[in-house]
Amino acid sequence: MRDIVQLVVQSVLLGGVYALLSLGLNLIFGVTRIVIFVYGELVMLFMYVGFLFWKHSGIDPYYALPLLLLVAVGSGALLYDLLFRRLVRAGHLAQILATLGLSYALQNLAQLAWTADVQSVRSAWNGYSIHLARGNISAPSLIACVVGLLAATGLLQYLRRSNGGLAMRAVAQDRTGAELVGIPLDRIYRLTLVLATMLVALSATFMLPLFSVYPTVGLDFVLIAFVVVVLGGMGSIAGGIAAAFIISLIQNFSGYFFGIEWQDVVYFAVFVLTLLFRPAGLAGVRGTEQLGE
Amino acid sequence: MSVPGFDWLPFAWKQDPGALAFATAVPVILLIAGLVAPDPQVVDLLFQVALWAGIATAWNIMGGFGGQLSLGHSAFYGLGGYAGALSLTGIGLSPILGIAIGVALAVMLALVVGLAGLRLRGPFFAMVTFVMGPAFQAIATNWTRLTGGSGGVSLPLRGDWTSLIFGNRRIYLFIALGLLAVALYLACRLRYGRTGIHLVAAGNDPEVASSLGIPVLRVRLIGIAASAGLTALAGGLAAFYVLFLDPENAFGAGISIKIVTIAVIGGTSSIVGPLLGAVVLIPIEQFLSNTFAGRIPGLSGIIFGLLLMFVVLAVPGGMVRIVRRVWSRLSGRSAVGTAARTGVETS
Amino acid sequence: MTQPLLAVSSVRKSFSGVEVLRGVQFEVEPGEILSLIGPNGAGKTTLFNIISGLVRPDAGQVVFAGDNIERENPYRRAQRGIGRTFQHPRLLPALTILENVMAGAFREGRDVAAAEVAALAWLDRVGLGTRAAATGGSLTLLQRKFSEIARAMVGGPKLLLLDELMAGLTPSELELSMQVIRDINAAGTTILLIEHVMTAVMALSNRVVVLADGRIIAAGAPDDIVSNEGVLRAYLGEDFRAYSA
Repeated sequence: MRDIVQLVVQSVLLGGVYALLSLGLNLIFGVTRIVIFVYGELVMLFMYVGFLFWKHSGIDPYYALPLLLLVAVGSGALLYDLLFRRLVRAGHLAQILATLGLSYALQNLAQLAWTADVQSVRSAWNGYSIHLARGNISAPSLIACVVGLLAATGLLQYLRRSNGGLAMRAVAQDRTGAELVGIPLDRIYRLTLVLATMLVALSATFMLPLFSVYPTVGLDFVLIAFVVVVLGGMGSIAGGIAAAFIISLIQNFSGYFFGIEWQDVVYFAVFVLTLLFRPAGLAGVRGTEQLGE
Repeated sequence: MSVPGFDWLPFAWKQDPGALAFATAVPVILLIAGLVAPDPQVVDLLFQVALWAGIATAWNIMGGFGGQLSLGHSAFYGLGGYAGALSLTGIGLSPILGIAIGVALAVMLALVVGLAGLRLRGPFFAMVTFVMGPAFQAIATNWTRLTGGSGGVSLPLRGDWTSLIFGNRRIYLFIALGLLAVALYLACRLRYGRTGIHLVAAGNDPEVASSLGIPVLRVRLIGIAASAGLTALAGGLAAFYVLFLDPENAFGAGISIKIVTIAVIGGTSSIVGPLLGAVVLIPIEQFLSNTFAGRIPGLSGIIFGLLLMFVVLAVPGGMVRIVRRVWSRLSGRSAVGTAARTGVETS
Repeated sequence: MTQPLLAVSSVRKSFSGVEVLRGVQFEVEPGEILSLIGPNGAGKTTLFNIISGLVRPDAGQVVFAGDNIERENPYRRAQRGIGRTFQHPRLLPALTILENVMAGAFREGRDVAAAEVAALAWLDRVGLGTRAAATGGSLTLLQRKFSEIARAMVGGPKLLLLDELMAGLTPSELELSMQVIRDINAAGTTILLIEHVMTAVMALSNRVVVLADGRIIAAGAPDDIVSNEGVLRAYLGEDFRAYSA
């Protein structure tokens, strides 16, 4: 029984982390409808920046957040201007292949710059855990989970209340219609990219004490993010949150009951089944299965 | 008076004589080079070119002509490799049989994927294929009892032809060339033959194709099965060339990306695009890793990744398109000859 | 007493709760040219899609040459001898028009060489023999429509469904198209047209059926249809009498 409780606790915490991880992807998918395969590498790069910050300054990696956010603003805009602006107009095939190529290049670049070694940080919080009656909660996981939920809530508020957010939602629902009422698509897309990159920076900061970083870690992240986003319904933040917890639970429980070798396979299976039978995801986001048509 | 199995030839010759000439010339050149080259490094290079040209050509049948972008071909590749390797080390069976089993498994997987593809539109289909490689990698890593886990499977250094272990490395080259020839033949047939034109039509616009009496599903499955089977064969061959197999070098995402990169940069619209891609890119890759290996690892990865991005956005037809333009400018002919573009329409 | 080539009965179809076809019933006699007309949005293309198989009806039967086909796959129906064109010509972009037409030419057990010959023959018949190597993008609208016709016909269908062939054509192009249709019909193919261009409807059709509000409200010779009150009401509204001279 203790095991199960611990499992649930772990799953919930991990779910929060997954939610945090997939916010940026969900935003990009929802608003720009671009299929990007390079998302994982973005997370990876920010994690490396955070790692280097910690390694060279000795300051706790959480304090790298302002730096990463700053980098995110600049790089998000740059990423849009140099690449994503073109991808919006190109077909899905081009988007997939171009971002795949970029992701491959970035993986190798990271390996070149920082070697293939698996690196991890040691935050002051790593040693802490909270002991409950029935389980343990590691501090970094808890922090990440809480940050994830706060970020998701914050994002939802932003999307509902602010001008930028409303414009984004308009574009997400009906690109042509939004254009017709005078919403400047280009600016909104850039804003989306910047915001998404900031979310990536946020997740990287809080995931760093939890996950080791190595050049190909992006692949693991993008797979999870994809599954969460698709299961939740592309562009649905709330759906994504729910999906994140579901995936985490499925992953952990199948690992426990079937053995760890099946843990990933099971959630891949969920992914495939979702695409086959309910591509609109939990939130039933209509139209996304056409992805921009 | 047509030779059975080659009824597509006259038509193909009219459509794209350059491609056919190239497709015949290159394997012959590789063969001759393989026979005369003294240096084992050269033989190795030729082997890599032949192997990857074959795999990329096979991929193109599904991803290029068939219009079903596959980002997970490493699944088929690894199945061939592991089936072959494990049949030798595990059961003592000849890997020839083992690889045959691997091919059968790959074809079965391909059929399932093809059926799923009916319901999935482009990007979603690509996403599903994207998880195939990692899924198998995860299984291979964790199913330690079967596959030896991440430690991998080592193959004996000595053996005879029934165990597919040859002292003379040239023999691998010849087998790879045979595979390449088969791949090119199937590609021709599945582009210009009856099934071919049906396949391209089904890939381009399934509704129109079915209105013409084309059994879309059947035709797609044929294309996917051929693509998967060939790739599995190549994977099996590669395993016995390297004599070591682990989940990473069998199912790794890097393999899937390499295949796609070669095919797309070469040009997916033509039967020989992938061949051209391999002929150009593999030697560059070897050169880069030989020259810079110690100091700049992964340089070829960076260059190829960026090149893929560039080609997709700026030169969607790939190298084939560039060659055709140059050729028509040189020979003063107008437009791009009769060969048309298929597959990867990127805008 | 010949049986109709195509018999549609009691066909119903709704999309997202909106009933588009509410019990459609009509027949196409072998050898005739039948025009299907009606106000926009009446469901004509949906009907075509149900006949050719891209859409399944919620209820009703489609009988072709005596066989029920309403549950069959589109490709099987095509193999039975139903060919069609589309409202906006859908040429396969990656192929030349020769290859496009060849895509439809492999019926009757032809090999590649025979398919090529048949395809070229049809392209010649529609006047595009010299453009065989072109791709759809470089052709005019009329040429693309004709390519589609050649592609639909090369397999030798018994019934040809033409979806708004005349839309967007100049008067001389109209003449050309009408001649092509007459020739195809004279050679033995039954033709079912969706059409808005009334001059063509009147000039070509043996019979006309009118689809309005999801039902067939009139069927008969062209002259009878134009003076049919129900038809006038459907097109011009309740005050249709106010418009007559």
